[in-house]
Amino acid sequence: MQNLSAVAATWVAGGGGMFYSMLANAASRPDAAFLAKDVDTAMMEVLGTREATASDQIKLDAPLQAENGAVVPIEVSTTLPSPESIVVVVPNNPTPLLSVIEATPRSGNYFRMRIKMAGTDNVMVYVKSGGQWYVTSQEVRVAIGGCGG
Amino acid sequence: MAKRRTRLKAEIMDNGIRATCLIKHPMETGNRLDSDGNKIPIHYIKYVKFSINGEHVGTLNLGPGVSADPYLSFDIADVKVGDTLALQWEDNKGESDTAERVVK
Repeated sequence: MQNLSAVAATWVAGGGGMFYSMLANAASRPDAAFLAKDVDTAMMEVLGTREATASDQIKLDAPLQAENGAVVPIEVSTTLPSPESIVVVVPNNPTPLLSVIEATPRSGNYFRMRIKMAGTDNVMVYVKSGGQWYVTSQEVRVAIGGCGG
Repeated sequence: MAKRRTRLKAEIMDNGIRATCLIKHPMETGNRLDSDGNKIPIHYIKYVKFSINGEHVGTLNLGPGVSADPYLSFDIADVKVGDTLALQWEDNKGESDTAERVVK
């Protein structure tokens, strides 16, 4: 928190508008959810619901089989109108929440990253569009888990 | 000068750019043990923020489940040649870095 107030003070000096957007960002990051060990806690914190509609307007590209769970590339694109938020979850990972992307009107249609998977599992991608959550998923068979321990 | 930790590139797409970054970072989950059997403390990047000419265009919040040395791509619309793409990241220990690139 000390860190945050120092940053805030700097931003106040820099300009009011910037300060407020910084605060908004700091407040919206669901820190606890990223450390949650079970998927329900993480999901309730981030989505506020477990209700999501399956959608073919989210395209998830992930390998069917991964030799090494430490590096599983995923690629996500969506044609849903103005995506606000995108959430990546691997339910059986030690910490299931992988990423929460806060999009703006200029972004959110495509991203790619590399994730760790503890074992064979589904990769779930949730997209919020028009206040609704949509979901798609794909199973990845993992030969050697990549979360350690 | 210290070795560059964050690499950033911008690739021109149909209606904007694909920003791609590679960040040197261990992304420790806190579950792994070192050779003496001690837990390696959790150490991960919390967020990567992108901006165009200083305007915030998106944030990728990451958890410890993202692979070591995060390699991320993110599409940004309405970007033209000459615009400045920038990113900033910070990890759970307060380490941070920035990178900038002019789109061409």
